[in-house]
Amino acid sequence: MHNKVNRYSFYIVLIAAFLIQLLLLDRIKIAGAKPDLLVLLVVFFAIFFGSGAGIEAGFIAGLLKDLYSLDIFGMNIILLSLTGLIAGMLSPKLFRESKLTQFLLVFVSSVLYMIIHYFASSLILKITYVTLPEYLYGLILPSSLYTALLSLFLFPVLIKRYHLKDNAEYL
Amino acid sequence: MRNKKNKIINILAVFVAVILVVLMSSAARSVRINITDTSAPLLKSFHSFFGLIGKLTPFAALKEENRILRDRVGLLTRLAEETKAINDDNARLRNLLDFRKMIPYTSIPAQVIGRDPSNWSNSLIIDKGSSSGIKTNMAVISTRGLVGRIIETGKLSSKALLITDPDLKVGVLIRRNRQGGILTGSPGGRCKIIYISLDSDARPGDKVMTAGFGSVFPKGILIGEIEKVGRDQGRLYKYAILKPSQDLSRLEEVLCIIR
Repeated sequence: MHNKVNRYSFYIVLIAAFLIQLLLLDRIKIAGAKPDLLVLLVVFFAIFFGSGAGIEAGFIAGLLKDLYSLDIFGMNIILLSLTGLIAGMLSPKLFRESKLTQFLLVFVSSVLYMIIHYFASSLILKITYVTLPEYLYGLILPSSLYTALLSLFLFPVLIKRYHLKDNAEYL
Repeated sequence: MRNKKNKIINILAVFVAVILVVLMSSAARSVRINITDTSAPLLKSFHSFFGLIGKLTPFAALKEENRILRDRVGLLTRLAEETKAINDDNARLRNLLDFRKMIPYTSIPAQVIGRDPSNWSNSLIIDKGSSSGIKTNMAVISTRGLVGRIIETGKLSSKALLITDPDLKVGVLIRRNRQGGILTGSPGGRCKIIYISLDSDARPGDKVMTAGFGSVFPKGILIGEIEKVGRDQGRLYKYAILKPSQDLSRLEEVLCIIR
């Protein structure tokens, strides 16, 4: 029995997460790092609903980020779509119900997303006065860890929300 | 077979996304400004709503205790807390107004209505745009020091790049020894001063202010305090890590300097 997931609910969750990211998450910064709810959701949709949903979530999340950020336009669309694709492709090979798998997948996806972002930004903008180790220890690792820790609390809520124990299938 | 077909479709979808992005990037700037502008009133109301929740939360325990003691007293306490929050707002805005009168520049006050959703860049969305006189490259300050610079301006909203963003560069002076350097953002909510000469005696605790070179930042605005001074191997200059004079993630009002 496949449970169809409403596409509107999928978008509402992404937009709500985006608003929280835009308006509230700076208040819970620890040592300058804040969790990335959008990366967390892209990985969630990718591992539970497949690569297609991962890319779709990545595209929407990336577009929202690019529209409201001063980041290079398109960078987040491409990187989050790729994150969704890769997490979705890895998902069938892993035991996705395990909390450890979910934690590691969110952590690794976030680290890779930010490292590729660093190199792509350096290539496009040419000059950067901040080195990769500075970024790695000052921003990438703390915020990826923060995001992965948050996934331990949010994934069970989302799993319950989408009734995923019934083998839900996205659209 | 079907699985393989799905994978190919997914990879193709990413390529289509890439092509779309490349096509959109030239028009992106104006689209981005227009979208931020259109959603500014909505963001402002969401911001006020979340702000109200934030103000009431610290008093929740007190209210609960009062509710147990007497329902009526509880109600009055809540009213008192709301009045206190309004008074706090009033005091903060009065402080901003006094500061505005005190500084030697003409400025436009603005409210922060949003923040950068990415972990990568550090910026603020403010509720004033070109219709209020905001222009790109205006310096943004608060009562406690430099905040950043206006980068994008719409009609009703603008985006300011913060001093903690690595893309922002500011000419600075160390107040004690008048030695200069370039300030740029650094991860972890800190800033980094580069190009400090090797013979500089800069040390932790030194106050840093804007040097006033160029036409963006007026001279003498406090930025923060040096936390650490160091030297990278093989470099001819020292660097310093600076702690901004305020917590930029909790700013609520700013002033945009007209000059």
